[in-house]
Amino acid sequence: MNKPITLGDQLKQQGISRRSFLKLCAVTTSMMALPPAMIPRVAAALEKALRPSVIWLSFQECTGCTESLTRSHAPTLESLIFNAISLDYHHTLQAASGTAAEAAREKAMEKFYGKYLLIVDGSIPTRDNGIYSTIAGRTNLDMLQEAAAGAAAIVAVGTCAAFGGIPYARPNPTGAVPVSELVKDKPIINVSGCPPIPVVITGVLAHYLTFGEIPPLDSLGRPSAFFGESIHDRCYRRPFYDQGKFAKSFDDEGARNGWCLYELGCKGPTTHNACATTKWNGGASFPIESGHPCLGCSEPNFWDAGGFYEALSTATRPLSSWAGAAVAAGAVAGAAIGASSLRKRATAKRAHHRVTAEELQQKEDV
Amino acid sequence: MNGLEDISISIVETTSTSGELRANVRAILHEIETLLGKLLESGEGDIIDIRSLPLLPADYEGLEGALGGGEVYAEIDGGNGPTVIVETGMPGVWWVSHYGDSDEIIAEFIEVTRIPELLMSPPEDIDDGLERLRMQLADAGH
Repeated sequence: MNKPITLGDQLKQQGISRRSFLKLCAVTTSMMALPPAMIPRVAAALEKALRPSVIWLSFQECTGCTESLTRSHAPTLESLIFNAISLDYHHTLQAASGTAAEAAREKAMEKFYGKYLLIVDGSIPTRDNGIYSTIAGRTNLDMLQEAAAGAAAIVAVGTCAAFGGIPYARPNPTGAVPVSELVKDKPIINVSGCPPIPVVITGVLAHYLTFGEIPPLDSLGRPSAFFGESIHDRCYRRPFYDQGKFAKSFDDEGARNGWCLYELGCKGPTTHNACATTKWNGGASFPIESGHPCLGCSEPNFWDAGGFYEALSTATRPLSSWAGAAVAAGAVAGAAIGASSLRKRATAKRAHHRVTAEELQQKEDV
Repeated sequence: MNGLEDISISIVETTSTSGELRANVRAILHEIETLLGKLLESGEGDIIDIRSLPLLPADYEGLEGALGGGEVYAEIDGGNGPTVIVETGMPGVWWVSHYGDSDEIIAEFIEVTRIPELLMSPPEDIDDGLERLRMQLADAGH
């Protein structure tokens, strides 16, 4: 039997110098969000790493997670597929289709039984025996159970696979559940986010490739290296929160000055993710840096957790009493008016009542 | 494109107008101060991963400006993208930028050390080179 080829052997065959290898290790360590002191350990592990077989199943999802992965810049998806993993099935990315694609999945499952890494994106509908989402005539439910049986570990990519996500939101017509509801006997890594940050997906794969084991996880099964701290704790706008400087509407002075978005509904304090440091699009920016509150997309039930624009500790209440009381008291002060009209607009939308610009203007003129 | 210029956009300042250091920059400089002290005392270096810090472009520029440029500039011609290693204006503080194959920075570190490991010739590569040299000499008949 042939001795399996390690990543170290492979790089040597390609004539990669030791320096280039050390660079790869430094970049990989940073990508896994491990402290730089770990670089020597990463180097020792990477040298002996084997290219694992990966089977990626997409269930009740929007393909946003795969879209996110294709925008990974370091490593690029191509270098990941060609050098680091053997992606044996991914029905959006693979060249094969139809019967040939399903045959590739079955072959990989048989050949690497007990050893392959299973990646799942999307939730799994369970109502009416799971008929609401099928691939090649088979239900997601059936396909997951079969593939999970031979997996070494499962990575649930995206909030749908990790926590149920949008399909799971009330009233959950398809009876959608996350992977962890169905598979109880395998290690599961939840890489949540809607979608997850590309480098968080690749970082988790790199961790598995490097160390051959799953990374330390938090209480929700997410890798602590990326989900260990809240957005709020790592936010560059945090000093404004501490000083009590808040934007009260999207067009007020506070918003223009880049103050804290807490009162505009920012879910940063209750959301754990790496957006504030890793950022998006090759480190260009992240929602708060672009002036929008965090939606909390990497947390369970984020879709049902109240309005995106409701401040965390403020109870939702109908606008009429709020604005009405304030107007009656003659106490509507400058900054609050913007927020009031925003909420008015939102409430009106819910009630299918059209608010005219004149009406809004009237409120602001009071 | 009519009317676009009517939209007021406020750009966050990129340099400190009052000459004061930004809070994030000050925090990192304090960390570097501690690490330099440790380097002098014990000879032990350390590395800061710039990507792990919540920096705005203005913080990044502020940090670059505060550290300044030094005497050494080195570029390693790697397989997929170069690595640029610069000693900053503070001796012992090195700025290491790893580039990817489409010329974007894929990882960046501040190393507090007398010389970054990447600049030293690795024993494995010295060994390969020595072998090549010996073969050359053998081919030449010596």
